Amino acid sequence: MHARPLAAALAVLVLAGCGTSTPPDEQAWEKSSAQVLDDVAGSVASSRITLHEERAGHLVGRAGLVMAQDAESSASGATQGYLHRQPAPGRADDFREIAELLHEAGAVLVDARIALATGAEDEYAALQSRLLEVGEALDAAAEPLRGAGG
Amino acid sequence: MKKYLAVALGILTAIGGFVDIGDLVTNAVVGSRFGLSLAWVVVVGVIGICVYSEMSGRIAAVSGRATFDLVRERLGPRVGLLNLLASMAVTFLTLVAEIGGVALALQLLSSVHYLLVAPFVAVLLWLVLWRAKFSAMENVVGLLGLALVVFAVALWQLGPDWAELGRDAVMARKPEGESWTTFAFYAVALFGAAMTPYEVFFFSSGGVEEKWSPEDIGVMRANVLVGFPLGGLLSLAIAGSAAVVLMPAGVTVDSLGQVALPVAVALGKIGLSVVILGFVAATFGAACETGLSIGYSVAQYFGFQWGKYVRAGEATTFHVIVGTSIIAATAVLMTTVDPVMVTEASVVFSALALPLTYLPILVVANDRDYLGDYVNGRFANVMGTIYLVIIIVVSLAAIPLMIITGMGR
Repeated sequence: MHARPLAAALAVLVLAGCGTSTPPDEQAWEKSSAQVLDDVAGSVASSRITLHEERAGHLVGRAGLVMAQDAESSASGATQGYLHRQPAPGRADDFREIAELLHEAGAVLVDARIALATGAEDEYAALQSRLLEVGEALDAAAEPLRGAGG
Repeated sequence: MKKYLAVALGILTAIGGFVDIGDLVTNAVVGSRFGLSLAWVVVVGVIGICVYSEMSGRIAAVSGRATFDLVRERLGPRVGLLNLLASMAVTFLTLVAEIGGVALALQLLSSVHYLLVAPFVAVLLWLVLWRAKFSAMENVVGLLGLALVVFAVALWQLGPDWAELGRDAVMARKPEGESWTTFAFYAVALFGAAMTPYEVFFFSSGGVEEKWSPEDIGVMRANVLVGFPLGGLLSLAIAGSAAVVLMPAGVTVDSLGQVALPVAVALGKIGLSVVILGFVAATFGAACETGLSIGYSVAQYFGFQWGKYVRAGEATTFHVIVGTSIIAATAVLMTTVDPVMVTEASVVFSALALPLTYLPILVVANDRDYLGDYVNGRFANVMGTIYLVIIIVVSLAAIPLMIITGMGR
């Protein structure tokens, strides 16, 4: 007797479950945005310290390269996870800005890893500055989101 | 004189053997995110492991039998099996993390990917557990593990604001950006890392292997009551150096390299070399202990011949279990699962399984049939009961906190 409404409800649930990606509410989106920006900023800072220590001759063997690879892969994982999710309604422009910043950070991390792998010591200073700049930009982008959602 | 040397050696190996991959990673993560505001959890955890290690050591010295042997006999096969399954699952997860930890430490030095290194580590581990003498294995890795004292030297060299660090530690000041649920999650993880079940199994089974008698209780107590707290200071030094170098830069630890980074900043190449040696020794030593603990637990439960002091041919099943666990743990690693993630999971699941490990020890330690005049006194029972309550609360909170915080995110 109640089979039809039950089937309809199930169908709605199944279809909803099959949707590509449900947009999160604004607060959750801001929180996850702040989180990814903080995570990537942490990786950028880690790579910057690694370069600094490599320049100072404080690292042994290939430790600097491994540390830079770890920072790059951690940032890449966090970025991919974030970019695959839908932004909150009406926040597509903010999402694109964050995505651009994350890609920029990823590019500098790749450059740092390449420099450490090839031993391009003359590039270390410039890379440290770029990492510092992009780290500050990530931090600045995260600040208002942290206040609202985090 | 010989006795004093034995005590000193025991204490030194207890310090060096106290820290494993769980302590390394969890303390560094906590230091980089919470500073020293969770230092009190390390203190509480170290006292707890002292209370229960002393009990299980006393049980081994007086009865000449190890934990699982007595748990099954005293509480019956069903409770014993539950205890065995829960402890084995956590110990196996820890074995995966330790083998991964050795491979990651060697990757740090060589840049050869840890997945290529892990099978060689597994073979070496199996060879050591099969061929090496128990005391040689325990002493060598324990003493080399002392290299981790470099964290304390690094913290000193970094010249932190000691008053500020002290205030963080004493007042448990949570950083503003972190939530209370995350704070509680990491408190549970730190407690789980300090009270990992395998430490007690290994300690009591090792006592049986070394044929402790009631006369050895004094030396055993010295090892536990001096060695473990000094090992706990190493944990605090790891957290402290991460708090001084990584926290201000906004770096959250998610790799073993980042755990070592503060030492490189403070002490340069020599410091980094020493800390990597310490990583290898601590994780390899803990891999030996977890591998043996799995063999001990299963063999003691089912009543097989077990131990390193028995010829391999007389304890075949024991050695097959140890070898199979090493192969299985390496196979898990080869699925490309992140060893640091496994470590984080292992300390939380360790917290979950704590009551199943420690309640039977408290029960057996109060049984005159086994311990005669050496049963728990009032102080041991008060401490044991207080810790049992803490353990149950921590165990109940572990999974909800893991879900709410998304593994501490």
